Amino acid sequence: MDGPLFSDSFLRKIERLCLIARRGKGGGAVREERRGGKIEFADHRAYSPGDDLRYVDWHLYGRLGQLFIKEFAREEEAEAIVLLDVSGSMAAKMFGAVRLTAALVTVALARGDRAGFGTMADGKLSMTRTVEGLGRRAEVFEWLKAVPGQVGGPTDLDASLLRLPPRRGVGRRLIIVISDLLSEQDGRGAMARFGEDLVLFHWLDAAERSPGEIGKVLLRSAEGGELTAFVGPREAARYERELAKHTEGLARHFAQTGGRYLLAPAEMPVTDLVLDVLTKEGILR
Amino acid sequence: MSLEHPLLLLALLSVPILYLLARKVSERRTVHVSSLLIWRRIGLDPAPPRSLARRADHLLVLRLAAAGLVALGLSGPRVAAHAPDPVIDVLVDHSPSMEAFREGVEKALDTIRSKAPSGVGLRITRSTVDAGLLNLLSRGGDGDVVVVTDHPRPGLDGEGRVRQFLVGAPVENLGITSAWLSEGRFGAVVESFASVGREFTIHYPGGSEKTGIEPGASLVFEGPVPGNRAEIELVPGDAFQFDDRVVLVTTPPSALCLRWQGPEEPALLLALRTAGVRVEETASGVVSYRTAPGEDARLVVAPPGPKRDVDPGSVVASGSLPAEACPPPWLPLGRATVLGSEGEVILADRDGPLALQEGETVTLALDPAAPGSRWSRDPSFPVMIAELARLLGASGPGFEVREGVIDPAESAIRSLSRVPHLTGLRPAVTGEPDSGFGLAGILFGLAGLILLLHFGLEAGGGARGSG
Repeated sequence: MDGPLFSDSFLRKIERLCLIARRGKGGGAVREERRGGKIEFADHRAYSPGDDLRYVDWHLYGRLGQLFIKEFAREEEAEAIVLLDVSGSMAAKMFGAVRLTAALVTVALARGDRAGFGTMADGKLSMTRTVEGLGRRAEVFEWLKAVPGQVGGPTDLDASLLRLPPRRGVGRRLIIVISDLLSEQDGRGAMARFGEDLVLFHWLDAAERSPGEIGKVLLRSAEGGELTAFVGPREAARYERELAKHTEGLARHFAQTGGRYLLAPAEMPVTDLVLDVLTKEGILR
Repeated sequence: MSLEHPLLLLALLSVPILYLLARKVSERRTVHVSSLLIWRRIGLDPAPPRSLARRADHLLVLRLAAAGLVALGLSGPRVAAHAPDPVIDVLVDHSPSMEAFREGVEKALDTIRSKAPSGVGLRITRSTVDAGLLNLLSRGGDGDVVVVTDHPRPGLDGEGRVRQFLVGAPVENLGITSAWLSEGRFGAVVESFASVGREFTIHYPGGSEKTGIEPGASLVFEGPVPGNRAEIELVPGDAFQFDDRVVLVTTPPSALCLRWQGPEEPALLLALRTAGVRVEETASGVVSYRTAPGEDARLVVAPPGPKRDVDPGSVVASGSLPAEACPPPWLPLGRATVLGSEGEVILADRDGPLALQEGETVTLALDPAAPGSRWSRDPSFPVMIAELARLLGASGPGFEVREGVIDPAESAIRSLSRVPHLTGLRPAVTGEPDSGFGLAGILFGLAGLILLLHFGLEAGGGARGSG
């Protein structure tokens, strides 16, 4: 993935948005109040370019001659973690998924929240460290650009999600999952524990939603496995009905657990998805 | 059945191509999918249902049938209304002058019909001769074309497939032409332009012979001539008396003269020596032309070089002129200013003698507009000239007059050959190109119906499949 993920004008637009987790009006923002929170010093870490200079410990610099950043744990500090399914089935849809991740991280960083992302495949979870401040956005974007090279392996969201480390410090954590959920191990049980702090993007492209009549074929899965089949009009209709059953089941499940479920068309431009669909659905405000 | 565009039958190749494409499409192909989760849940059969496979076969058959019919239609098939009959192509000259010879045309057609092989009809085309011949000969085939005209064209009979049948007054005519064959011998051709057989007597130096001649036939006579003058006469004469007497003379090698026989027996002899001079439209050598009694002949003589119009010169009989008066290479042309003796007429250009150089060409023709040249309207004369030249082995212009002493001991005149004009006519065996009707429309219509059926079947199957 070469070149910028987004144009500057699009980035400026989404920097004004806010991630909303809970349903309903007036609540659910990852960070709604910036003032009045109790801030406690937690740790030092080495300065890295892009860190907010306000948090440089100048006293320590005077003594040691090295820059250290003071890390605070704020009582209301929010965190947004985007978990991206990078199993083989996501290969064809990965570019859009990476861009959606980048957009959501940008929104979180712009609101002053900590943000990070992880990739899930083959029952594993690879997390990046969370960062804070828009100055770290470029760093996150660089990490994201490397993600398509990591795609492969079967989907086992249950196992992957169980590896998610607990929230460090206090504050709310919003978990955003982007996956096609085309596996028996679709992680619905693991995700249920996130309750209202879950936003799930069911990432399916047009061919997956409606394959049409493809005739006498050998279906070869990106995650391994083959199936010889004849797909005529009746079979195509049955597929669509089965998929609808699948998605409706997921929607019902997460409605009960309090999470947000959104069937997202992977072929849709991410800019439209973010600015139109997500704001209309109330996930962004 | 015939095809107007046989090459378009290559379009039939689209049928096996369509078949192969359909086979290719119906073969199993690999489709990459993200996951088999949903596919496994719906429990798919590996092969299409039998009814669907049958429908696909039916659709393929319909497609192939439509493609085949379109290809056949494009090739323009025609069905003949009836089997082609062998016919003799007869081209009736449709020029205005032929209006006067309607009866003659009918007689000519009867004659041709009677000469045609058994069971062979006539296919009559009425057109100008040039356009009609172009059309008929361009059709190909090896059938003969008989041209019925009042204005025969020299050399046309040599085309191989073309015979000329003369109509009008000459239909009743016998013609005679003559030439020197060798030293002391003459040849004469009597041609029949009559529609019925005739008898005639030919008088020649030293004897006579009575014989019959078939319509359209030619008889060749050859015999010795004592001296340098021969008169051959047909008896009885006919309405065109100009054709029933020819006079041959030998001329001094240094002279080119027209001989005028005098008012009582007006016959104009043109004796051309051809050393360095080519005469067009007449056979070179000794050719006899004759005028009506008491009338002038007019000759149009074009000067050497590119042809151009010149005023006709008058030839009149007057006085006498020794042959030595026209020494070579002078060719006396145009208005006669010097007249030969005893009927010898020396033609000279109106501006004086015209000098001709070696290899130059003189175009010599008769002026048909001249009132005195009735014989110029006799259509037989160019034919006779051409026929004579052919029979005597001349290869066209350039035939040279032979000179010398005629040996009276040569054998008597004898009939050499009979040259039928209308025997052995070869019919055209090609069918009528305009007969029958085209099948293209029917084939396209059928293809359209099949396609409608195809779309109906496809839509019906699709509706059932999605239902």
